[in-house]
Amino acid sequence: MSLVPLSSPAKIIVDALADYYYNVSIMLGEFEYLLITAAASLADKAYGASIRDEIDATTGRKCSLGALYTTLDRLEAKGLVETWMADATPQRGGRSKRMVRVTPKGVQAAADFYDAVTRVSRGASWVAKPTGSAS
Amino acid sequence: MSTLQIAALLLRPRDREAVLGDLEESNETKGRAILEILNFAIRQQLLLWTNWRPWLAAFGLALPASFLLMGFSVAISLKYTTTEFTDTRQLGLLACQALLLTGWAWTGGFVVGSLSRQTLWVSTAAALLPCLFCLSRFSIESLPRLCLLLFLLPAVWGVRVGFGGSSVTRHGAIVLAILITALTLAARSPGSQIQTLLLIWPTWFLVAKARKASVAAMVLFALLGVAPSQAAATDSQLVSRELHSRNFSQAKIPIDATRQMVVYLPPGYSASSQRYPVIYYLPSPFDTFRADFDKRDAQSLLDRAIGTRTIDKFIFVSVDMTTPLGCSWYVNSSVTGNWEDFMIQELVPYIDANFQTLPARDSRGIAGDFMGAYGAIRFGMKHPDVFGTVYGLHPVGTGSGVQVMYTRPNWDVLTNAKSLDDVKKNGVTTIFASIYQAHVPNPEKPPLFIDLQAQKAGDRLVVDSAVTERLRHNFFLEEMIPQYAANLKSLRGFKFDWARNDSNFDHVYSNQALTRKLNEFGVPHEADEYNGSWGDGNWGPAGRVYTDVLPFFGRHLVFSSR
Repeated sequence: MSLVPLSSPAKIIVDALADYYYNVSIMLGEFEYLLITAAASLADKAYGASIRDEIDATTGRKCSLGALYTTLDRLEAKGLVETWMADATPQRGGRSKRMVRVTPKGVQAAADFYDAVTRVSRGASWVAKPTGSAS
Repeated sequence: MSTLQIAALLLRPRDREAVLGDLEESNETKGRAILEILNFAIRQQLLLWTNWRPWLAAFGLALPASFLLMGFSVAISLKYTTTEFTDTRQLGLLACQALLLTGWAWTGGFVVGSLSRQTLWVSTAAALLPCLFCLSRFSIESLPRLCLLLFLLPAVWGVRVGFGGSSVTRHGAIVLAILITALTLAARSPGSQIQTLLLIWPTWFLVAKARKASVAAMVLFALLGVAPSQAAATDSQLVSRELHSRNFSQAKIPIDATRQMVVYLPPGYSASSQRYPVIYYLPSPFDTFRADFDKRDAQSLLDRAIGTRTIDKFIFVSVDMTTPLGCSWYVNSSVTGNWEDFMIQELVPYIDANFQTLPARDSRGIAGDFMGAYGAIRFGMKHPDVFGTVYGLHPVGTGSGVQVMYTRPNWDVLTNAKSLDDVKKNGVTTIFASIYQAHVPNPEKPPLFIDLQAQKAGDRLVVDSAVTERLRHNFFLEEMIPQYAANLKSLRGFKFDWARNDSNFDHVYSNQALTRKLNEFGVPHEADEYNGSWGDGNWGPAGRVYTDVLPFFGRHLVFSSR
């Protein structure tokens, strides 16, 4: 989905529409979930570049800043994260960071997503069988 | 100013600051950085179009209204050239038409401005393209070309006001709308009704915008009439029922033959004739049978589980099966009454007769908490033809654990009690007395009506082997496995769990022994030891009911009669 970094405008259009359909119409999307989880694990060090690096480090794919910030806007509109502009630092050429904090509602939404994925995956061939059950 | 900074002007100031900083920090090459910014800008523009407003503004209003208003501008200009200024009637007509043009254009512009916002450039283009087209084809020699664009002046004014976020007062909007509508109808200008409608709707849109949304919604609901009552009918309901039982008339201790229950009916229940599976619930007897609903908002949690499709719609019955000493242990006893028969012969048929149930074992489940979990598993063992799916939350009474059972109660109290109330003064002894009344009852021995497992002989405690054997045989679920293994194997689903940190380790060890013994007998089941204390928030959104019990029933119950 939106993890494809930079490509043709057509791809961007298709991506944006797919993102919208999944994330707004149905439930927390895969990318929204990645973003919330990365932000939650970074705690008070969560901002644009650090979240992007975290997602890169865990999934091996680098998302575009455009995908990251438009998704962040949507999450903020839904009340799942809060963002604010922090102080500028020298290694950023004196630019401010947009800091991110996951709200309790965001934590709940992420837990629901995880719950749904776990539930729907039960019995799938790629999921390890639970231990301890008699056969 | 670098090309990067110029490209960044496409972004909003706040995004610009953050993105330029991020790019600087991650040492992107300049080309890649510019691509990143363009990607962001394109995404942002595209996202604006996921809303209906810009589409309506640009292609529903700006584009077609531009054509119509140009035509009307030319018509007025022609009228102006032919008007006799001494004729007040003609003059009045011209003034009216000019007023109408201004009104249409201004309201149209206002609506485009307030709907477009960040896509205003597209709306502007949509309005100006027809203008360029007509300007290039203009061929009326008696008129200057710019007559075509008469409407633009009030339109731009309207756009500015609308774009600025102003809203019209409600009274103003209504007066304006009535005026313009009346003038439009009076003028009967050439053109179809669709054209008229296209020019009028923005003024009524203003009226709608000026009103409070809730008022608009109320009007809409009032018009639809049935909508609010429909909405009420779709909520879940909690109904209290009582059932007079014939199974307690022989009891030796006072048992209320009128048993209470609370029944949860899922959203949409009364509006449909659909039939639903039933989950019977045996709450912990340490609290009232409806405490989970009254104190822990079980209703919201069940609603939530249905809402998130954790489980399809179901009926949930929580029933009071307590005796004066606490738990009935869900058995037929010559002292406390026939609780097992009450459940199987009276309660289940009553629920099936009075509610829209799927009256079959495949669509019936039973769950319980603590002693209630004991009951759920026991009913599953003895009546798999009634309950097809079983879940026990932290069951007790499953086995002997490590402490020797007879060391627990106070034998002085049990031996010398003059009434039930004497026993109730000691919590642990009360529990054991309820166990003895259920499993080793003796109707000949008032006031407790129990056989004593042990008796005091001076300071020594003498254990009665025969009573102990009878107790173990009747009481422990583990002891019942050999006899009921085939029944348990026939269940659609069987699960229990226990909290690792129950301060009474006997409960933990007994459950570990129970799952092992079930495995010995090849009984399929799930058994989870979770990290927690017994009763910790079973009914919270992170509690076992939501995370495990309801999903389990969701998987194993049959939700339709097909």
